Amino acid sequence: MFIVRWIRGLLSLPILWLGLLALYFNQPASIPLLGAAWAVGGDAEVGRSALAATRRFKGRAEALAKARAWLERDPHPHFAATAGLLSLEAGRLDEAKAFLARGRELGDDPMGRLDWLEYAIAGISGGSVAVARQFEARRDLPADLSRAVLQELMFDDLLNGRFDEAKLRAERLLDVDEFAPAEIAMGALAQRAGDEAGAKRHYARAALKLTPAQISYLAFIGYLAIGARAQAEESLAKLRGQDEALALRAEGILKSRESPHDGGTDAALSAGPAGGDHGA
Amino acid sequence: MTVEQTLLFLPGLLAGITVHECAHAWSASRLGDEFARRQGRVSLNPLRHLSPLGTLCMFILPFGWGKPVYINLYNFRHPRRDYLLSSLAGPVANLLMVALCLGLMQFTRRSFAFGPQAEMPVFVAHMVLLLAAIANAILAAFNLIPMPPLDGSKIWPCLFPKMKPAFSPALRQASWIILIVIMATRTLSPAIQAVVGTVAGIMPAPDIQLFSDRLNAAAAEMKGGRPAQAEKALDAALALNPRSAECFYLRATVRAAQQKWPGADDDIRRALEMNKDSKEYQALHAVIAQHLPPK
Repeated sequence: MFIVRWIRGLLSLPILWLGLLALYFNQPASIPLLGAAWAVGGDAEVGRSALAATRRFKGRAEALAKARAWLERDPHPHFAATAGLLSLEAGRLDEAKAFLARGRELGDDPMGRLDWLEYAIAGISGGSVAVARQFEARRDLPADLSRAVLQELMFDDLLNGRFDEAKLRAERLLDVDEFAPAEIAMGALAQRAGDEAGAKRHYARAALKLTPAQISYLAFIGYLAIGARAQAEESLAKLRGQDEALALRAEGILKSRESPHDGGTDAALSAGPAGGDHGA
Repeated sequence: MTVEQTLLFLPGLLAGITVHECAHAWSASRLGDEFARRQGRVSLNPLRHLSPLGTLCMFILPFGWGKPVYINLYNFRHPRRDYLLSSLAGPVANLLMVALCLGLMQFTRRSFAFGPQAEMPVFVAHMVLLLAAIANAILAAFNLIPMPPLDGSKIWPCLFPKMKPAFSPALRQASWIILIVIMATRTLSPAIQAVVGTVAGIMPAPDIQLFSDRLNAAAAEMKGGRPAQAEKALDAALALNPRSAECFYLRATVRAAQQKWPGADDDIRRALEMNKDSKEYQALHAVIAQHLPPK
């Protein structure tokens, strides 16, 4: 059995490399190449890459249809997770939940793709902080998910006045890698402590890694957390001109601060590498 | 490398890669990160660690590699220290394999002591252990190069406070290219040879090799007309392998040349006990018998 799998894996390698090369150069040819590499090698992780390429070049609907078909053909948690994330993108929460349940039935998910789906579903359902707290205690999650969880909890701490905890989480994130959202949090905390030079240093480091819209969004959260309402409004106004979707999120946070808190900060924010890998 | 050498080299390389990757996963798990365990990598089953291309290269180069072990640094209590330890675990495991091989070679080197039936299998086992020690030493040394995806790239940044343990993806891609160029141009060959030379220098020589060296020395002494020295070399060879008819025959010849007839007679009789049908032995026995006093 291993020999057959090994030979299949070996035969798929040239096609896989070509597919990855095509993807690197943004070529739609990556779709059939990666699909063929999956068909030959049988590696569901390669299949997931093929679906990601389909999502990029052909759109969500086609990628979702393909993910459904592949899930029927080769029932694997990766395909269930990918189909679930695509459903979620399309706003079909119940369907995403069904894919999550199907994926869990299929057994082992060594790469933690279904955990990502569960976390994303929680994000949409408004329970991301509760799931993040559960996930924080786990030690078997992939690194990108752990980072997203830490980021979520860090901003939740910041927004709810738990500044010491927020600082610990930001430091933990920065211990491992340069991570712009953690720099923003550290900047806000420095500003709160009256250390303007330190805040500037952190914001400057964050700016190197973020798009202007992401900077405005994170600055908005930071200002809101430390009670600098006027500056928060200013960042929100800037954000409205940069990224409508992020501005809507920011407004949601603002509303939740004004009404009883529903705990909805944002880990699905595509800021830096933390949120980079969980889409299809 | 010949096909035979490659076949003897593969078990050690396979064991080295398996132990190396398993050590990364096991140490990460001990330090609090269970992600590698979740992927089934805390295992000594080679099938869990082999990558298709790395395995193919084992037969062609012959050198190979396993699938990388994914580590989640956020699960470590002290990310920098624990990442350093889990990265070091692979090369350290290879060095322990070298030590284990050297220890076992102390037994397998005495192949003559295992009896005539086991002599060859024990010698083959010795060669497998020897090549396994070399493969593991190369794996340990090669992995310390500070270039992704090798372990050195994870170890060195942990030692410098200003550097972050995680490498940027762009640098990782660039270093793959550099690594391929280094391999293709054999830039590292002198360093690898130095490692092999160092390990070979501390390896115990097998008795078969010592025996063969002593026989060659005896032949050289005989050729140079120094039968007394040749006899000493044969004494030493027989101390290693007292079951060699050929060696007794040669010593009988050397003793006969020195007119040590009783000793020569003893030797040729023992040679004939082991190989009655040899015409050469019988002829020498007849010559020696002529010079012995009548009983």
